[in-house]
Amino acid sequence: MYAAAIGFVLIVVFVPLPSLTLKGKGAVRGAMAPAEKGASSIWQRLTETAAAIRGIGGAVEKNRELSHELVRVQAELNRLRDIEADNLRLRRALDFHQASPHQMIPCDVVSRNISGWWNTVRLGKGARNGIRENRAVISPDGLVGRTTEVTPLTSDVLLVSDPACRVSAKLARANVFGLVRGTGSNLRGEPQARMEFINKDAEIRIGDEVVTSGLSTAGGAFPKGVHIGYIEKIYKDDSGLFQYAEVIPRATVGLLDYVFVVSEAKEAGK
Amino acid sequence: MAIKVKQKQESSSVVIWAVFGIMMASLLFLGSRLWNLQVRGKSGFDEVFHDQSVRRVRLPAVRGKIFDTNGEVLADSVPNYCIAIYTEEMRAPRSAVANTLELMHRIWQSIGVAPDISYRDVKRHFALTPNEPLVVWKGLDDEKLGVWQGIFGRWNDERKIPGLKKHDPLRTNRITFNTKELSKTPTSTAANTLELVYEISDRIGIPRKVRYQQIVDHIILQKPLPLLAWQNLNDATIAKWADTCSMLPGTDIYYQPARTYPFGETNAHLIGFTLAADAINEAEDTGEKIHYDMRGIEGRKGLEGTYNDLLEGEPGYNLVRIDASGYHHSDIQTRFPKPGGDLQLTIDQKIQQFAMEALLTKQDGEDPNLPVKGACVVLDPNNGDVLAMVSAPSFNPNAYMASAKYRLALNKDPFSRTFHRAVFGQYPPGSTFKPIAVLGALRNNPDYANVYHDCHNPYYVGKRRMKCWIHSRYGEHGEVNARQALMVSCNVYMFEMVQELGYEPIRDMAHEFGIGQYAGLFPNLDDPPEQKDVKYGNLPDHALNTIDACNMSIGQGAILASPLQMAMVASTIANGGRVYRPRLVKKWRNGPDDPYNTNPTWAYRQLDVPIEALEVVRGGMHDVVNHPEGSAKAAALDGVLIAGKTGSAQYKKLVDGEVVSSVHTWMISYAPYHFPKYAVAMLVEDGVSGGRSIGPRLHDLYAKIFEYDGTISKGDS
Repeated sequence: MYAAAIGFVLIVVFVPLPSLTLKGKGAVRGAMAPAEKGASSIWQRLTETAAAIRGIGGAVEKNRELSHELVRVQAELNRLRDIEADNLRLRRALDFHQASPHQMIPCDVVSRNISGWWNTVRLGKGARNGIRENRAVISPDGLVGRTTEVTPLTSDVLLVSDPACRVSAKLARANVFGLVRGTGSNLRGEPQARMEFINKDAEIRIGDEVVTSGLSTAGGAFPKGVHIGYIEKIYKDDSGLFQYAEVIPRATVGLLDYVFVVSEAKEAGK
Repeated sequence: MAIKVKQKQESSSVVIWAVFGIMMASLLFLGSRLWNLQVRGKSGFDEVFHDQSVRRVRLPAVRGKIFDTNGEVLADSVPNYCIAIYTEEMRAPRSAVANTLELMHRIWQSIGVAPDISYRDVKRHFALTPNEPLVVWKGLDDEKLGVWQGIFGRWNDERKIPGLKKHDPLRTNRITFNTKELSKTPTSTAANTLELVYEISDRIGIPRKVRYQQIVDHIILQKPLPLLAWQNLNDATIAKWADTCSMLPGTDIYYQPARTYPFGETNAHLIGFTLAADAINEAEDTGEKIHYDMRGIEGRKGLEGTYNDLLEGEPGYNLVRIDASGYHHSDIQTRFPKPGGDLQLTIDQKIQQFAMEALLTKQDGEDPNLPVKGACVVLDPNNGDVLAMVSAPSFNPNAYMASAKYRLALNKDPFSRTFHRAVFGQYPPGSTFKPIAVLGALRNNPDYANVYHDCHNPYYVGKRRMKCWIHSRYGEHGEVNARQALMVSCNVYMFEMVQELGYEPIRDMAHEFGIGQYAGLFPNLDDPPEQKDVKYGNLPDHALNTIDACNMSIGQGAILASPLQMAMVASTIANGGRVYRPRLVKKWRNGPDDPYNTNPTWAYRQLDVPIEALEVVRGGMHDVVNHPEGSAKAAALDGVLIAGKTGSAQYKKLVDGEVVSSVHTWMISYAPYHFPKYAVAMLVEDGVSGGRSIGPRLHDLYAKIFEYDGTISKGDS
């Protein structure tokens, strides 16, 4: 039994067949997901119990519900602001165009442990729940990241602060565009990101809000105007050709136990 | 027993010492060899290792900027955003799709016909029916099939190309791939790169820019450098890339310095443009070998070309360690490029735009379907600063840099859009030359101002009939003196004058005005730059005969001048005879953090003419605009006194094989009359006459300039 298991693991690890490794990864993850789910739900229970003991008893459920509601309302607010801006512009252009409404899939975060294979956050829902690759993942604090590998039951999230992550962004105040790239963590362990390629003549100020650009919404992947963070410091690139700024992506700082995956609405409502 | 032992001990000690000696000797030998290799030879081996594994990449510097006199940016450096593919990450074997694409492109290259299936078709085929053969071309004609058979059929006889069957297409007019075979073949780096290019193109929805052969060449010649698969991207494309492709391995956004001209066409000839620099393989300063060159840009024309060394800055170098197969392994060190220096011009961009607008405004009698051909130069007569210098028709320097098609079209352009008429145009100055002729005559004969000549029709010089322009309108100027002759632009007066006084005084005066000489636009260039076929006007030493002298007295014949030189003439008359070198560069600095150096103004000659003589000429030029009989009343502006001189120089040109007579219409002018602030020369090729073609344009130009500098309030003109 053990021998077989060890043999299987060795094969999965050492036989360089991408398809098999992927399947193996999927299988292992599929097998682990319920356990992870169980473990994390037990952990959740424990923390909630602790909270209850500390005297917030009935408020826990309510708190979760309200947080869910808050996310939905915030996203809705963002969307409505955008729609308002759109509406004004379109009225001027006399050209009616409907912004595609997005659907939010609430997901529990089942693991945040960083192991050899996975350096990401994992969600407890996958392709069966309508999650696709490369979808925006948001929380009440804003953009968390994007989904990368999606199996039927789980999906991985690449965080905004991951150096491999690139998100096209703009300043909420002005039409100034840039790319947000993760830069890992600073010395205090806070996740960090950097907004690059900002036009050198653009006026940016510390404290400007950075949101997703929505320039590529034609592809349907990314919603517009999702909060990413605030500008902390502004630099001029050595070449003098563009500016870049440090952004602290708040949503990845105190990552909650649940997030929402944004997908195109197949039908109205959920 | 004891003895034996003793003996043994004795003998053994010798052996032991011997063995010990041998061991020590060999250790010493080994140690010295080790020393030789590890210590004495270290640097040599290090060098060999370094030579084999380190490559120097040249990085272009950011070009300096060009500003106008008020700090407006006329030439700016901006990032050219590219999608880069790092081929070193493309080496892991990938899917059979890559193999299919590669084979497809190799055949496409040789037969020159695009395949009948798309990238998506290929992907779908491998997803659904990976073991079925894939039809890539269908319905090829016999000629293409012949080519295909000639190349690939023979190859197939000699050695098997994976994925192809022998002699298959001849029967079916198709080219079919055996995909099963392609799935088993390992993929090459080029194939993987090609697949990635297709994938990005598909995800973003932009057409492929890089050809398969370019990918192959890049991998052979420029392994350690990123392959720039798309360039000059806009925000939306970068955003799409970020949201759809950034998780693909081996691709990233890369930027290179590029140039942009915010005022495009208005300054095209003056500023010039940049094009891709030639690759070099040795550093200019140190002579170090440069293995790879991320090619920058270099100035080719105008100020960008003249001051390229200042603007260019110094390139930086990146030392790159490569791995055994020649791909980028790691960066060792970088010497950052030193940004280029800046130029601040004397040009005032506002006046530059007014000049362009005025020049391009069509007047009565001009063909509305043809572009205006001409030039305009505005100088400050008090110091020689060039306030505006435009040439029409113009071209768009930004498009010129971006598009080879546009460059090719310009080369065939019948209106010579890229020709800088203001500086290099060679035109007979016509009647605008008359102030010079009159000044030349008056210098040695101050009383000539009161000499009258009779302009009568017909008028003969020897046996040749010569005309004043008014004769073709059946009129005569009658008795005129020098000032009146300038006012009405009478030719006969000049003919009489040159016959009496000779051509020499006129020639000497023209020479002092700088006609026929290099105008010295650029500092530190006392000698004209060595340029092929560039002339700076023409001023003959001697007249061939009386007729020739008469022709030259009215600015025709062999006399040639550029609009810039005629603007200098206007400026010299305006300021009382000081000839300034036209100053185009006000200040320059060697880098963005260095202090500015001022380029001094320079009056290099003071005309030796009595003030009375100047007053006659200036009075005549005043009357040209402000007298009821003047030839350019259209130029007059309420609130500001303008002085000027018109000119219409006849020349012959070929139109559809026939010789047609046409005129270059001129005007030189300065204003305000009493305290001149601006001196202008304007020329329009193939106009009607100086008064009718240039007069109204000058009026528009002066109206805008004097509104802009606050001399008159808006709505006065």
